[in-house]
Amino acid sequence: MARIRSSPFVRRYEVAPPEVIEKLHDATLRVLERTGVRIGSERVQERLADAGANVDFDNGRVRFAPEFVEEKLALAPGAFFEAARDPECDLQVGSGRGYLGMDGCPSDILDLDTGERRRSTAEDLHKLAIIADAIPEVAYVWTAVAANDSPETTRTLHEFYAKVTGTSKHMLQNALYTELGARGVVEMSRAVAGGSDELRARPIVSNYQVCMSPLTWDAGGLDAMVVFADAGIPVGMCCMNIAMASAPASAAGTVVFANAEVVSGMVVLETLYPGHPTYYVAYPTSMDIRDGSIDPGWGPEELMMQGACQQLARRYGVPVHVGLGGTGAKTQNWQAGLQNALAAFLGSVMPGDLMSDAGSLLTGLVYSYESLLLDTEIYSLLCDMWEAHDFGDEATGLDVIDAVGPGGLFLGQQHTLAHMRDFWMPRFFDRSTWEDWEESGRPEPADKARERVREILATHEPQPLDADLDAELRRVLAAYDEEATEG
Amino acid sequence: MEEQLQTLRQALMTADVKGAIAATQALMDANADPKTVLEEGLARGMSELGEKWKRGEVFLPEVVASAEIFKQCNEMIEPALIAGGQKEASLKVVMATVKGDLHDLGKNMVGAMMRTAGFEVHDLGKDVPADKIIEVVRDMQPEILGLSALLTTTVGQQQAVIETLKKEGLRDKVKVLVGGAPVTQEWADEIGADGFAPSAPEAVNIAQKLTS
Amino acid sequence: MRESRTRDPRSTWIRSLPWNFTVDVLSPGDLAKLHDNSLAILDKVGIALGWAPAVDALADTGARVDRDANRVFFPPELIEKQLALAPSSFLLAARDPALDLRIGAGHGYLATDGCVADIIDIDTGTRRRSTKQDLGDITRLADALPQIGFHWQPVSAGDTPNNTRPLHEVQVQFLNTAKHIQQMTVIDGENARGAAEMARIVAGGAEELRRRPLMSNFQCSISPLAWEDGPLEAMAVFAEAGLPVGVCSMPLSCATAPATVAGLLTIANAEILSGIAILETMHPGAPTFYVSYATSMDLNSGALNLGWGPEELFAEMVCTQMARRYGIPSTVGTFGTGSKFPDWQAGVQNALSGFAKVFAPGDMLTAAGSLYGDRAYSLEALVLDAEIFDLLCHFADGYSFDEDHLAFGPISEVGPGGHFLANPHTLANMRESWMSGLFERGTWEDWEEAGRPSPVNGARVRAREILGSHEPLPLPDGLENELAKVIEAQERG
Repeated sequence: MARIRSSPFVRRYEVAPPEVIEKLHDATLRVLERTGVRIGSERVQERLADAGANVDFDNGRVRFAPEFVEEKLALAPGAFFEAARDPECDLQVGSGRGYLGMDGCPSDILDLDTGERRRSTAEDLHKLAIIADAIPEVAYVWTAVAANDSPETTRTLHEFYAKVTGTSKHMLQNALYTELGARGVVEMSRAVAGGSDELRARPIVSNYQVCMSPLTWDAGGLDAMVVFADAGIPVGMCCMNIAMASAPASAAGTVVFANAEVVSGMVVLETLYPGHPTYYVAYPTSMDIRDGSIDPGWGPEELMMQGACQQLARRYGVPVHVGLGGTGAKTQNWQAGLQNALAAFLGSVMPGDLMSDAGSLLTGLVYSYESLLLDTEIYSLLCDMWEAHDFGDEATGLDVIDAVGPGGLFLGQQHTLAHMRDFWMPRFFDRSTWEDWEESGRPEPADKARERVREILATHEPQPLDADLDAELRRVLAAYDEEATEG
Repeated sequence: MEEQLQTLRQALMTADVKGAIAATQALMDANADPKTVLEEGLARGMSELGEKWKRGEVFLPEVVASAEIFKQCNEMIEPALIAGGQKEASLKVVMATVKGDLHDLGKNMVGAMMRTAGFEVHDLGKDVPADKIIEVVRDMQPEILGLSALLTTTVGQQQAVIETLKKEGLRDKVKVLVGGAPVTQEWADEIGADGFAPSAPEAVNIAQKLTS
Repeated sequence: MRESRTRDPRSTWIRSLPWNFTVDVLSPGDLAKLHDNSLAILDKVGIALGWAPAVDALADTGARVDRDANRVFFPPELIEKQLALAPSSFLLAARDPALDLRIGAGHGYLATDGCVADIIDIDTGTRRRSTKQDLGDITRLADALPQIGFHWQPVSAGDTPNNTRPLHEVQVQFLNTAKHIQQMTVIDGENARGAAEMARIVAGGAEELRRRPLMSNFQCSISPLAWEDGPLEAMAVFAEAGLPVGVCSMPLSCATAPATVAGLLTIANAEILSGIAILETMHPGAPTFYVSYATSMDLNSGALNLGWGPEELFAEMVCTQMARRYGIPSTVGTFGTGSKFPDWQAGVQNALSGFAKVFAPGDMLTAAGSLYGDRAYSLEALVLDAEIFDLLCHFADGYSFDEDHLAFGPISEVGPGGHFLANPHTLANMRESWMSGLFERGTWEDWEEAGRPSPVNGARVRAREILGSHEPLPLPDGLENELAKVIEAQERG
């Protein structure tokens, strides 16, 4: 069986017509020209000024002329390569297939045994990596939870180690906003890849940086971006704004806002590193006006905003990353199923080159082992639905229909036996009778998912690191830990 | 001969109709004891298939396909069984979809599965009036009577049949099994049925328990 | 008899799903194959059909009939000709004209489910047989929910006599709603006559009913490829009265249809086309609609697949696409989860099925409130499904991208690092966003302390609130008695 299941990439639906997308783009250009963004890193400010951007060194405000924006955006490649320790798991991003990741990076996880919400650990991340390694629906492995039991300054390195020992798939080092962290990850990645040039040729990690809404890129993130870009590692640009709070109240306004943030990030990256692989990540949400919470998660506005942002990414010709979940529910209940399925369905008619949100609850604040598997059930269902269906004569069964005739039964027919296994089989949907279900104590799909998690953890063996490499990684980790304590 | 019996079992379990018929014929040509062919070949093959079904290794359509082949091969050896005085009285099952109801898919599936377990199934079809059912029960004296209904407006017929059996003094002579979408355990208990089958495979289980 | 009417203000309007987007799942080539193969089957394999009035009428119109074998063969030209007679839109009238539905006008309306034998008791949470009272309550609850456009008979009036049950159902529904009633439990001529009579009484006469059909119906074939007498007679009676009658097929893959998606859908399409042909032959121009409920079989148990997925979604989208291709309205299953409780599975299946309708627009969307593959009904599920529908309608209604909404002014004002919370633009626009009535919104701690409530709890509260306060539009004086008389007459007869 293939180690990775990608999704068919056929764009079937536009949330907004092309004229509207142009309007959104124009409005974005106006924002970037008039208002601009705050760039928190002095080094980056200087490099931008050198390249012709309008930089106010007093307050770090950078404004971009429209031609500047268009020129830099055009440099971003339409496709790029993400490698894995196991070449069978290499990903051609932007090549017409979509890849599902996970989510990240919450600090809390639901304990697999007690169901209680608690701080997550490196061990949790390691286990999640193993699970992700085992299931074909997950194509690349995120830092799904924070390794809270490791030092804060070198946490991302510990997270890298926890993952790379659990999976041979491509790894996204999300949640990485410091220069130190970036340096450490690059060094460890080079060790795994076999050298700097090897890493550049086969980047086994990728990253994305997040704009601090509104319109602010902080120093740590920018410096990390520089380190990664220097090393040849793809860096996506991400925004996470909240309508009515850190973005305007109208869905359209929030889209403009989100677009301005992501585009500004890509412009900065492409100015400093022309032609560098990047991708567009937008996570616009809205605030519930009754109490200021953003916990409700997906509703129609989020779906629409996500869709519009996606179309903008397409307009710019860059690969796009789409969130497929993000439920605000606190457990794997009706709301979680509903919200994640809605997002996933939209993602299936407006596919992303990269997709995420598998496994999280409470709008990304809590992770769950069971949710990871449950979300992949939705994904696999939709992948099957949009695959081509055969309407030829044999598939239609004209002969068997004739043979069975009106009022007959297809049950024992050869045609039935030959084709019946083509239908999708759920792993976690319950198919039992009412009586059996009651007798078993009304089990939930999460219960089945939990069993499967345990099964995977008990049986799956990821591709091990060879002893020398493992030792080298540990050495680097220890060195950085020491540096961090001293410094 | 064990090898030939194994071939027969294998063909049966993989729904290979040509292979099964050929294997049965080969055994008959070799003058194999027909009872052994039935028990060690056909019945054992179906029983092993049933186990595979329970484990989820094979699916219902495959079981039904094999049941059809079982029936065909059984017919081939039946004359020899009868001639040798070895034909055992099989447990008889009468199946019917009750009056007013035209849905027989469930009944057909149960019938097919009953055959796999060695029951002799007499299917009266659909929209069968209570009188006709009673008549057949009186004449044929089956061990099991299976009543199927899909509609809430016809499910009451199951009760009517049971009441009529009582009236005719036949109730304790047959075990009544009920099934169909609107049928639940509560309903079965309420009308005094002997068993309720939520699925075709369950029906066989219950029938076997009721007749053991 | 009450003089005035107290109505929940929310129920004076109906929320519909606009046909603003279309994603065709079938390519033109595959659609053509599906259509051609359906015609080929109707021509070469034929339909099992014995009801003499239909057989005679079809024979006169050019079908080839074999009366001994109860088989009718439909030449392709006959099918095409009769299809063209079916109107592309019609009215489903309501006792309150404000609640009329124009079908075939680019809007989808949500209905409840039918006709489930068991209800999940709202007080005990256990499953029990449904009663006439239950049907009345659910109808009244649905009457109050703006997301419900019209009614099916969600539960069976199990405590009424078998031979008049559909009429008891008509009666209790007319008493509990002012919205349109699609009477779908009638499958025989006698009950069809009784139901039509009751509708005439409420409408105020035969012509009034024809002009404003307060009732509609649909009939189902028996898969594969068969029509029984009762349903055809019922179809004729309703059509005669001027009531829209849909044609439904419910094949089950591996059992009553082949084990492929193409085979399943071709059987469904062929059966529906045959039913339309029969209807239009006997009553040219009769309003009708295309109803496809193709489902897959659970390979282990042989029952309906409760864990349904991609094939069913695809089938639903094909259903509406075929209906649109034929130019007639459609009915399609929409919230038919196989789950036994409004849990994660129900959320997933109903979300997917619901969202699919945003992109595969249909006219009548059914199954709000059903669980366990239409074998258990739940008032909480009804409220929850209405919530999903509301969200989807909001999405499908679309968003404004005008200058004001693009918010260039406010964005420059606020600038980097600012916030929009008290901005006048926010205050002016914030109510346009959809707000959930039932999603969990509190903190984790509050949620734990409250015993980890789920949206089901909120739905239960809402259902009880409505049942405790909502009064449906009363029937005019004397009508209730007249309806009862029709039932009595049939019980005697």
